[in-house]
Amino acid sequence: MLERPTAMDGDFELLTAWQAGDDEAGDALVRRHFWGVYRFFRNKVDEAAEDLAQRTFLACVEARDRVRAELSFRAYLFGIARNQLSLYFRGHQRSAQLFRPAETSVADIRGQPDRPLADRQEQQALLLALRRIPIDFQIALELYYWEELSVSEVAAVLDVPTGTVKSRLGRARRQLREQLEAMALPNATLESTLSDLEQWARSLRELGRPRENSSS
Amino acid sequence: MNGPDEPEPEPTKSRTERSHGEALRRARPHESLGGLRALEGIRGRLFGRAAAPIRVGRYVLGERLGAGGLGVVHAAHDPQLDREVAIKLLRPGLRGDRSREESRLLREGQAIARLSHPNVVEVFDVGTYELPRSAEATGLPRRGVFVVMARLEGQTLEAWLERRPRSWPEVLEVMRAAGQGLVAAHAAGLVHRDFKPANIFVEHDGWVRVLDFGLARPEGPSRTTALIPVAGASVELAESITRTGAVLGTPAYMAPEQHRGCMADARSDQYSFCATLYRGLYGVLPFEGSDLDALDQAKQARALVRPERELRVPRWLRAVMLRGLSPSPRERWPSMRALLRALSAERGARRGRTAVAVGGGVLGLGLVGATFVSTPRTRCEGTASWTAEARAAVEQALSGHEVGSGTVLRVTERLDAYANAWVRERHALCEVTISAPDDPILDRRMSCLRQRQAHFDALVELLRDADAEVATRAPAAVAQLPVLEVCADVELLRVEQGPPVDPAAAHGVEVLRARISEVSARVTAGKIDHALALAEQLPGEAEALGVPSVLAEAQWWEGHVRRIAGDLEGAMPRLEAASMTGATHGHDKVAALAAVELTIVLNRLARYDEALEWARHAEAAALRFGEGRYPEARAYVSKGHVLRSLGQAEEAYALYERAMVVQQRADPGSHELPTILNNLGTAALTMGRYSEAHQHYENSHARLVALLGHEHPQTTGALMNLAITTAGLGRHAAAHQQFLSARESFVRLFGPEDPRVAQVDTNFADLLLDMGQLDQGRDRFAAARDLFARTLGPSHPNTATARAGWGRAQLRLGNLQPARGAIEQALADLREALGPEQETVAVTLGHLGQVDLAQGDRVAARQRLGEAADLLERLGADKGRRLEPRFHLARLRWEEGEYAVARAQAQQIYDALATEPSQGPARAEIVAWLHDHPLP
Repeated sequence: MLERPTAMDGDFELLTAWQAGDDEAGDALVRRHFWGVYRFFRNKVDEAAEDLAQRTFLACVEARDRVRAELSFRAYLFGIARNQLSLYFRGHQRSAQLFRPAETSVADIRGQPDRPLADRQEQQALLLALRRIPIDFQIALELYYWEELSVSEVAAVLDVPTGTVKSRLGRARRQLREQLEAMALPNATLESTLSDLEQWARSLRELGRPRENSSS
Repeated sequence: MNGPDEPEPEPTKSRTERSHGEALRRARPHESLGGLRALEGIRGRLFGRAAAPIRVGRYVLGERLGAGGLGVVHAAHDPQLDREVAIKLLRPGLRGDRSREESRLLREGQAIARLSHPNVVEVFDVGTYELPRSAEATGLPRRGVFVVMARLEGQTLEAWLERRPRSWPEVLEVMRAAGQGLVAAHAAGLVHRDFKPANIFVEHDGWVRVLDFGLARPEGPSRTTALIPVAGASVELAESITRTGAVLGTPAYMAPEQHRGCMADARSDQYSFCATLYRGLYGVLPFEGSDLDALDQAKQARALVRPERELRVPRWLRAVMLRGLSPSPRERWPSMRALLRALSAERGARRGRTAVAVGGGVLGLGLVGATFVSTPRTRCEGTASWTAEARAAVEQALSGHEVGSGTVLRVTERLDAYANAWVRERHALCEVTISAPDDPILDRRMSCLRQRQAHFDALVELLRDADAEVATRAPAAVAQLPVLEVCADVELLRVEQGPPVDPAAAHGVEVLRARISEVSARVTAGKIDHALALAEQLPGEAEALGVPSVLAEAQWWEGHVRRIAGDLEGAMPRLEAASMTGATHGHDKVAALAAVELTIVLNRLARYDEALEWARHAEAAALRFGEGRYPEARAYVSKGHVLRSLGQAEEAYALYERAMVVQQRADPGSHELPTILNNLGTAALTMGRYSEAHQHYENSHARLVALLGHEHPQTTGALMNLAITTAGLGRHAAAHQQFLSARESFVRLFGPEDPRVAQVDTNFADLLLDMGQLDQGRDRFAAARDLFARTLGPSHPNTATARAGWGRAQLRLGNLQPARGAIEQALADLREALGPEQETVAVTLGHLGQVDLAQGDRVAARQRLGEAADLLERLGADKGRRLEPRFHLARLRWEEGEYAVARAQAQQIYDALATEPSQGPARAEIVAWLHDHPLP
């Protein structure tokens, strides 16, 4: 039913129609991009993800003047999502000055998630580690690997030059690795997450798609 | 990787970087029901689209709670009963007959639904379902079986273990609760098949429940399609991949028979339970392998994974657990129940409830195997003096002596248990004290605990410097650590400690009572001289303190220790003073117990009239202390001993019976009762009433089993007594079994080098001779003789008795020269040790006469057999013993040609023995002889 969009054609048209009052177009746009936006928030604000996803879509439809034609719609959308996230965190911080997305991590702000983020241990470990690196690093990695945005799109979302994104991705991965190592994981999990993972992932690819939710 | 331009990885790290990319991609959260509901919510709010709830059966699905290899779990609402539940959606297996799989799951689910146990999650409903196509994005299995369960708040054991490091008692407590759930399921014929940390749930209030009974596929992982969980995730993989797979998760918990596709049974669950326990205690899986074969091999070889850190897990616990991890189901524990019993920490607490007097004192008998609290939880926790350093020192000291292999372990474990129980009691008390800081009763309780700590510390000190004597007595000493439960029993505490103490003197009283505890500890450790040295000072100190009730206690202890030390004359004035002080100042317990001690002392001194006089005082004081209490029973018992000395066995028997009635009323669960029953048995035995004796011994044994467990010196002693009467009643096979159990138990308790093992062997060997197993009997006597010689000395009466037994075996085997040498030696040793007028001496003399007869020395035979028969007559020995030399005298007559007289006498003896089974020559021997010696 809800395919992740592959072709971006028509996103801006749908947005324009929605802005003109076409709820069908709005609904189509929301359905098309919902999962990416939801994922964006899910590992940063936990239960507030639904609310922030909604705010993101609403901000999208309201902020027509900020649409820049040279951007892809998704870069535009995630840029808004990042703004919403900043607003949210600023509102939830004791001191607004402290929030620096290039330095502060989700874990710094929110601590441990209330409930497990994932069923599989190594997935949980990665999600936790992502929360422990600076938010902009987390965003860069997630958008790049999960949403498959290009480096220039990520640069637009983070509002930094392309070269900065490239070096950030490298640093982000290093920090992610350090976080994984620092987490007191059972040895087996750490091993599999850090090094065996490659081999493991390859064998899974060879077999075809792994079954979902198939954790022990 | 396609699409976006890849950032340039640093060359040296490329492999890791790439692997991280893969890992990251994989970690992308799946579309989920939670997300779907968020989407529907947004669409509803922005565009007025109504969100359709997703239903499984009548249940409305809520957020996802988790997922396992079997399926996913969601929160759900049951509109019919309007309650929140959890629903598990089971994915039918990919192989095999889908509908058969479904009906199996339904059957299992219904069986669990019928099971009701606090440690098993409640199952409300099971059924099959099929979701509409529109629910596809939820990632839920489209169709399958659902199981509706109670909604639990908490975490799985897996998460619980990871949250923070857990001490072994914490882990054990949770696992024992989970084990109870398994026991209940096994009793209902259910097998879990996939017991592991992820299937155990620890609720917020600490309650433990087992999940997912019987839901795993019964065949387990097979060679062709193996369930290979990798670091917690399980994926169906083909065989070729299993051989190169990564770390195995779930199969690590499986019993090896499940690897081979065998049907899992309760013993497989036991294996998984122990694997889970291992994981909990050590933080690692017990076995590892890169694939199923390697894992299986590790299990078969019991190649345990060493924990990364050296963790404090007691060795007994490890041993119990490792038995459950035996590759062969037969070698595991017979049942989960048996395993839990072995793991039972409550055992100790139950034992502790028995307030026991040993040797007339007020010492308690044993706590065993309780848990050790290692981490202070609140400011209430005191630190026990039982440190790792102290433990190591005790271990080292005991290991320096010949105490048997298991002894050191046993002693340290009991000390662990006691220290732990103490900390627990102290903690509980401290928490009460916070809420009621000025309650004087709480002071008493705290003071009671401090006394016990003093005893414990004193004992540990002694054990650290253990000489051979202390080392030998160590197991008994730790078993006699005073009971802690007394300190929680306010009523008991009030009477135990006598009248209230002036607050100004309270501190001095406590110091003195701590010193009394030290005396008590020294007594239990066999350091009687040291105990006496300290006990002598007590009355003076108590006098200086000016608190009469404590003075009475001090006097009693000095008298008691002198009595034990054999200084009967010296004991008397102290005990008299204790009795006087106690009676005058209303400390009736001391008054009564002092009179009891005096009764025992005077009985020993053969001053029977005075003994009976003190027995009356004892009774009076005991009744003042409280009718139906322990001192009253003690009074009757001590009087019974006197009457037995006076040959009034019937009257003694009647008193023991009264004592039994009192004790039954006072504390039916106490340890005193089986002791009295044992006295009753022995009294019955002296009167030759075998079946009665047998009943009492049986009763005593059964109670001790309930009270102290099978594995306790006293229980085992009672079993040995029981075996002797069982043998006496001619039930050879049963007796054989009992002797074997008793022996094994003693070996386990004290190691193979303990004289108690030799004691069993002596009695056992007698039975073997009766059963005609002469070679075995002889060898057992030899073993007993050598062990007695090593432990008690070469001329000790026990050594001599075993030596004589060996001689008898040789005699019956026809090896007359060795028989003569042994019996002559034994006879000389016995006469030397016991004096000539002794039953054992007479019996052995008779045996020497038998050797004479066998060697054809009729003169010597007649003389010795006659002397033995007369002496036994004079000593009023049991009928069987009296008649034994007479039977051999009858044989002598036969040899001399008086065939008719000989046969008639033998027949007479046989008839006399037929009415009442008895010790002495087995009737079978006489029957055989009569058969072999027809009148010519």
